Amino acid sequence: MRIPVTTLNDGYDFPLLGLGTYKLTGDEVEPIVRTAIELGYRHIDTAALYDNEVEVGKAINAAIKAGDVTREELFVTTKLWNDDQERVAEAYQESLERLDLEFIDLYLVHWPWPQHGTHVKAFEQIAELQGMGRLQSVGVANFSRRCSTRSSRPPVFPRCSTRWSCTPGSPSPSCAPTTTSTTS
Amino acid sequence: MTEAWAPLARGSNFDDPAIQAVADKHGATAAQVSLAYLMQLGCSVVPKTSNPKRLEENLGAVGVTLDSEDVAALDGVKGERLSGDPLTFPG
Repeated sequence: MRIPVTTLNDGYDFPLLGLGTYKLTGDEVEPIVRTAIELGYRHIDTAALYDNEVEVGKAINAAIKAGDVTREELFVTTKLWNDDQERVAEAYQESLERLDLEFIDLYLVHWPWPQHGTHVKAFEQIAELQGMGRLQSVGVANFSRRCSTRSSRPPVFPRCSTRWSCTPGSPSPSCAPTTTSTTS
Repeated sequence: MTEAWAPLARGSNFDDPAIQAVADKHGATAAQVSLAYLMQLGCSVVPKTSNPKRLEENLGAVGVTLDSEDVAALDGVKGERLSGDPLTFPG
């Protein structure tokens, strides 16, 4: 079954269906990620917070080694946790090492945590990483429009994916069909 | 581009009559209809599961094409966001 993709505004394809891995830990991670890839999933979503990047990375690398998929066919997302908003480059490197990957497809600020006041700068530092060859796409998660405008200067999220808890009955403002604004 | 986390609301609205009706019409499950709906709105979805059968079920959402009546019915589903308020979380 072919999974549809959308093209992000930086030109990269983003599979519309992926495997979320929040609360998958320990021995259950590798088999489920391997099975997902065998079934045709190409988009795997993890985060530093999930404490499973090592296992997710092992599964991905094993699938590549087995010839099930190539790295380029996969789309791997991970996220910067709040405690790391002031050490973005280091946290990113640590995620790369835990995943044992050469690059990550999408790196997100996991939560804005606006009361701490570092979320816009954290995003800007992620955007700087994007220019250094080991990160394709950047974005933010759980940022409401109000979060984005609460900083002292207007934030510009130039090449940005957003991630939000959407479900039927509660689609996000930016994916609801009735709104004309997009988060870009 | 928006991605939906917890797109199935942890199953909390699978019994919703509107979701059930659309699911029955397509011979699909509530999960598949929910995911198909969000994808048709242009969201990416990342359902989590540790169950291989659910992996297949969720992937089956790709084969569900909703018409405008289905989408209108699903627009009317009542639900709540699962997460805390981004302005204060984690407080």
